[in-house]
Amino acid sequence: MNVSNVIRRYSLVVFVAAVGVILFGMFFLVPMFLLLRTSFWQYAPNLGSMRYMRPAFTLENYANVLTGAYLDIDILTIRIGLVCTVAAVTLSYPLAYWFARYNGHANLKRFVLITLIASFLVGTIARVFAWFMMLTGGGFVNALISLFGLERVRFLGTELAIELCQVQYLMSIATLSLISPLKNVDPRLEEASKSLGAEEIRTFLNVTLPLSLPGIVASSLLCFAVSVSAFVTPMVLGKGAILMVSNMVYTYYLDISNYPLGSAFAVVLLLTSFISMYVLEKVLLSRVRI
Amino acid sequence: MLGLEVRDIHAQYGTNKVLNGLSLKVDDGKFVTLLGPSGCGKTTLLRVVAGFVHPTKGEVYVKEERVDRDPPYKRNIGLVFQNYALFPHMTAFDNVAYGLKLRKLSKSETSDRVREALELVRLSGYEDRLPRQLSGGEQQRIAMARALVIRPRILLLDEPLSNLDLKLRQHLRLEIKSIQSKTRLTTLYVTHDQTEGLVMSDQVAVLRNGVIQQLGSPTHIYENPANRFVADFVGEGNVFEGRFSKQDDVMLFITDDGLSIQVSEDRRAGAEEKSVLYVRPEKISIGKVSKVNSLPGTISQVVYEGPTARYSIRVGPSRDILAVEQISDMAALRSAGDKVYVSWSPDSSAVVAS
Repeated sequence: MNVSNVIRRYSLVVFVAAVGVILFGMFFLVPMFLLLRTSFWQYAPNLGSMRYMRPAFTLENYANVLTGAYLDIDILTIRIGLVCTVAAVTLSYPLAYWFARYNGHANLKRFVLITLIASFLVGTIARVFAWFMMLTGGGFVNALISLFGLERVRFLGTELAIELCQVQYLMSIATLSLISPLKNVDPRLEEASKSLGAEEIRTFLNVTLPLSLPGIVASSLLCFAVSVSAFVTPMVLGKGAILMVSNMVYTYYLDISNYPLGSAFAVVLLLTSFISMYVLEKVLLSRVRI
Repeated sequence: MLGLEVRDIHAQYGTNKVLNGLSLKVDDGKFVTLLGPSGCGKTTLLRVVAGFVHPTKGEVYVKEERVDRDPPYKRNIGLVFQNYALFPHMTAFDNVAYGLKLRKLSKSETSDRVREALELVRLSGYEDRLPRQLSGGEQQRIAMARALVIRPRILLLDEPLSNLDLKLRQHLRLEIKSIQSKTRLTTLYVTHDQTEGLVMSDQVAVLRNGVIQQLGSPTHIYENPANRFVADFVGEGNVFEGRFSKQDDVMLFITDDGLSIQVSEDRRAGAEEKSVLYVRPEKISIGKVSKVNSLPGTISQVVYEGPTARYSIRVGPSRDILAVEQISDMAALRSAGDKVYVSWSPDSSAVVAS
């Protein structure tokens, strides 16, 4: 091969990649950096001429975000995130297992797959208000409950309402993301396990589950990141009674124009996702040598 | 005692019928190879015995005990796969110990037996390696150890060597055979490689379209193939169609294109008058002078293969005879255009069903 050809081809790749890198840097890293910087600045509501902050380094915003009533909001957000993630991944795993491991049921599978993708693609507003109608006092769920002669339940304005709606959405993400790691577990490994004397459940626990663990971790991270950053769902289904971190970011940015405190909330939200990613990777995956 | 018996097995995938009433008996301690092209049903038969394919009809007996209604994990059958199927998240030790832990053996007995099994496959000292740190051949030997350590009633091997390169394959063939001889385990070995079948087996069953074409010792299969398919599958050869005719106490075979070939009475025995002769290329000798039962021809093509050379020899107007000769000395290498006589012993013609 000719040297100049190599350079020409190689530099074209570098050029195209550089465009992507520069765009990504400008539109992701720069705003992220600005957000981080703002979170250390001082709120100054009386500066005038549309300026509400002063570029002076302070940890005051973080002190605010991580104490008192705001700490409760952080904890609530993480709790909702954990509940939704565990519920969604647990419910989705058997579904993904069925998709990946069983031949046949082709038509049923196609139908379920379309439903999952549709559920993933339906916009947040439509989904949330659909759930609103499901969960109102006279809604479908309460109609079902009263069929059994039970008392009506107040869903709207509770954590449960948010979690129900979120889990339904997350299940589409979790199922779709679990199918391929489960497909990657060689069926011959399960057969080897059975031929050596392990019945179905033992084979699942010894072979399939540990080998699909990286997929479970990846799927959980995705679900957790999506559910802790929920914004519209708590706003509508929480009816203002349940506030999550995203709602605080919104409030401080748009209602109060306290950008530094809003930014600190946003950074905490980001860190929550990053830390959970780190913990899951290090703690869970180190136990399985794959 | 029979080590394995399958009786009238019918099996299908969806509507695709793979086995139609296949029966096979294997004496205890024997090494039997299922040999056939892909799609012939050999792997399906093995999976029926292992319990992963449920036959629509038929029975499977292991050591004269019926097992076809048992799930795979109750059959106590050793299984070795083509892709090794070692558990990637376990060390070599844990892979081999897997079946023993399920059998709730004590720790010391488990490690004794694992050590023994690793010695048998000559991989002592590899206990702590993960499968990905082992070569293909080593992985396959660990897979053997894992299958043998549970002291299975029979051993099933599904094309265990076909992912390995030729040298390693030749080596592991002999190793598997020697392990089998040591353990005296009834073994069912599936392969599409006829050399493997011939080298390792006590008996070879040649399969085609789910039907056993011939069952016999490797020499019997090679020297007396039952039909054209078996003859072609376990080797190559020259085919002559024609009819027998006895002239002056000599048994002759007159081919449809007019050649006259002398055949021994033993070979003729039992065959129809109109038959097919099959002559392996290495049985044919090439000479400069005419002998009894020899045909004049011209060498039309020479393929030099190192230890041997393959010659196409044009005999008569339109027939090419394939012959293989050892090259013991370069002067013996013939060249195209040489006028020669081909001949073979009246005992070397196999009579096959067409």
